[in-house]
Amino acid sequence: MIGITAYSGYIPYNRLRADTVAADYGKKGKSEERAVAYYDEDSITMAAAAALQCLKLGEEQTVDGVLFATTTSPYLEKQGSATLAAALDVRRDVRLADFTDSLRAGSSALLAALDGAACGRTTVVAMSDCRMGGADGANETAFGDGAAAFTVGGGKVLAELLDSYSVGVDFPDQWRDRQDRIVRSWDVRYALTLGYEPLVKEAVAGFFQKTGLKPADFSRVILYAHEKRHQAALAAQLGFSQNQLQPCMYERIGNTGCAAAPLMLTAALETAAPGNRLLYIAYGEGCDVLAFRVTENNAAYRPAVSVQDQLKAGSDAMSYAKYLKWKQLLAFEPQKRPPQERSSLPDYFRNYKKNTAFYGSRCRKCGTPQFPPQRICAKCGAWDQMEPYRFYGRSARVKTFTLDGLSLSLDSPNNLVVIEFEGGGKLMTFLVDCEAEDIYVGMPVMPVFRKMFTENGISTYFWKVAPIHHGGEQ
Amino acid sequence: MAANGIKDKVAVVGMGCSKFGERFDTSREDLVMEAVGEALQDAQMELSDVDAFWFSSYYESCGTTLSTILKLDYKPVTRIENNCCSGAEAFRNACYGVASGAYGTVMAIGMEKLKDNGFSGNPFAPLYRDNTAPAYGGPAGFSLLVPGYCKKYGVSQENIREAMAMVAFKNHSNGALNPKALYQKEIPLEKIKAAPMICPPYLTVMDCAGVSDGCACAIIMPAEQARTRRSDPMYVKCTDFVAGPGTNELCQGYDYCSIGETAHMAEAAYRRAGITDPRTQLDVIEIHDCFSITEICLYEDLLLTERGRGWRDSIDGVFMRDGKIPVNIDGGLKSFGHPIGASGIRMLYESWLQFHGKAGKRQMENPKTGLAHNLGGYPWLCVSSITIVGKELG
Repeated sequence: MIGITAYSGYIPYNRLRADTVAADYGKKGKSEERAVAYYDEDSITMAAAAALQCLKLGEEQTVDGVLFATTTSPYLEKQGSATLAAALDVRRDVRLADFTDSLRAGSSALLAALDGAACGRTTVVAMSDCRMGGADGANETAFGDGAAAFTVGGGKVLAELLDSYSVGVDFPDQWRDRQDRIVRSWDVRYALTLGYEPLVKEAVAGFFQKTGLKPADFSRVILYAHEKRHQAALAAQLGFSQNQLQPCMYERIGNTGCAAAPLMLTAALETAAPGNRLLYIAYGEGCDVLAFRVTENNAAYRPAVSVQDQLKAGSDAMSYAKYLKWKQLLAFEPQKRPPQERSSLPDYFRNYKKNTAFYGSRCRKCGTPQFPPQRICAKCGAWDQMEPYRFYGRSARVKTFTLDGLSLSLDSPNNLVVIEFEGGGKLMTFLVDCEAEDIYVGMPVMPVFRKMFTENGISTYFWKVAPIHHGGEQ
Repeated sequence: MAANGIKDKVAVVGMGCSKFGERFDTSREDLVMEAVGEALQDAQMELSDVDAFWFSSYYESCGTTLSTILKLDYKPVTRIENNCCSGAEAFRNACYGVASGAYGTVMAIGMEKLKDNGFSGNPFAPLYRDNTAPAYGGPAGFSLLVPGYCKKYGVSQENIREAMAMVAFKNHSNGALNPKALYQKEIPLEKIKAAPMICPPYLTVMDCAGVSDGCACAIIMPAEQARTRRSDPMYVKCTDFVAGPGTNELCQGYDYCSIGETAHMAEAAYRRAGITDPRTQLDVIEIHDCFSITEICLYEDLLLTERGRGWRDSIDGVFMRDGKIPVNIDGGLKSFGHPIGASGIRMLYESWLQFHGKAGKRQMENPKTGLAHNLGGYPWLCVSSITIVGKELG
């Protein structure tokens, strides 16, 4: 049996209300909101946040491949899955690939991972997107940022792959060229009547014909749509009742691009009972249809933080100005400080295990964990008695903190904290996804993989901390 | 103990100090000549009498920065950079130059031109590293002492703010009497308390030292020669220096209410200088008040008060000009700003003035000993220096 063996969704902490945006343009907006990646989050960090949940500590050694699906990779040339694999701390002899350029990239990656599972490989596949609509346009609040991740393989399968069916057609309705930051689209009637509806119908019909299954065989249908209203209409045309339709959550987090259907799938799996069948339908230049049967194993599986809990957590207090700032849509006053120096790539690579997988060292002689890794023990002075010690997954508390209103930041003031790890070791870093007034000495926090800054086209990833309630291992 | 120190082996025979300030109309050359001219006149010497130079600066280049300004006749100039201890380090190494017998007369000189860079605050030079450490500045780093200190000693936010405001008030009130200070105005306590926060709720703009240009220098000779040259040289009692191992940054147990390196070195420095009770035996005490919370922690680290009492003593006025233990009577970094390479020597200049009765309205009654303390880095990892000087031998 092959299928999904772990899953997790990731929804950023910050939510932008549509009526907050509308008010700034002197309009009345809907009482909907969208998830917004923090200024230090991108498709790679969100994918990492979801994917890290899919591996219990130690399981990373069993992974044979890491696939990353996105239409918003921070790089045109530089593999995101490589960074993801490094953050997950998987072995070096793994297959890495990025799936991109299509909203169907998520299902393409999932299908590739399932193909790998059929050959005995265990693959982590993460889908993540942070697409942008133009200012004062519908897509600005219709799009959202988010990620989902799955471990796919044999063994303790939570959702068994029953079958799949794909249709691929060169049908353009949304696009970005190499310079575009904003998604362009043709008119919606064209997109619906010539693309979305006929292509999905064709794929679903093909799937039913291939498998002999029918709508009534499924407890849930996960159906991607550009907009929520199109989803319900097409589901009905396909023969599914509204009860079978998995909510798209667009009114809470927005359409998260190639992560949208995967996020719906994780939400569906969180509540699915053993024996339930799920039909997963992804769309974009064609359509992928996958069917899963939920197993007994799923009853005992719970992601560290469910999609439902992440929907409830978070803050919708952010202003539209903050959104514009975080997405760098404004021309800023230059800082009266020296420019941020790009990271030295040789030094970053030398410290690759420290920077991406969050390794320090522990002294074999006195047992003291230390970060960053040392050669001479800071406690007992022993030379070269260190063993690697991974700090990811360890609980930590705030020792002291301050709010730095002076340093360069897209969300000043920075919450600067010193944290101490249970069992030893400490680190000074930023605390994110937390209101300043909620920080206290002794506060429990956990490490999160974030982008420190981007300079000279180089994104520098490292670890910050967030309150325990949101995402993370604990 | 292998480190024997250099008590009474060398002495200062002349000092000079430029006006510290936002000296946009003043070049490096002007700053250096202002201080060096004063020192040479004070020592009644020619520049050619000086055999070797130790030149401290955080931002300047090598020894030729100084040799070209002074048109030195192929003399050795060692450029020293050791963060905010640079000035103290130039002084220390210059002392060793004469203590070793290698040179007869040397000069320690620190100069920094900060106001030409167009930045606010003291920007530190970039390091070509992986840059994964969080970017933060001095104010944020030192403000971590506030919750640490309050937690450890159960001090309320209101009390620590009061104690910190008193540090700023005191130092500005002292600076108001110093014609060489950047700021020469007393600032009302109420205004200090109402200053805008830069690290809320811990640090206001009034808790930070200023930024300025400045230069200070000292001419040093072996003690015996110094005595024959003038009757009132300033004897060097100790020039202690440490660079921290970083264990406070790496290991748990550090409580963020102390400058670890200073606390670690204070007792030994006093012992080497023959100080058994710093609270009564030190007269001119200049300490590194980069931020007001730093000064409060330093009262304790330098054994000027009990642990956990610094904040209370500050409120009680113990360290005021007319208090029991005056600290930073020249106005401190708060009033002078912190032209990094010059500050350590500027601090010694106050002892020089006080010993010679030239401190004007700040003049203390018959001061005999002086201390200059610096730290460079952050409370949990820094370089730190303690220099003690005396008016008399022994």
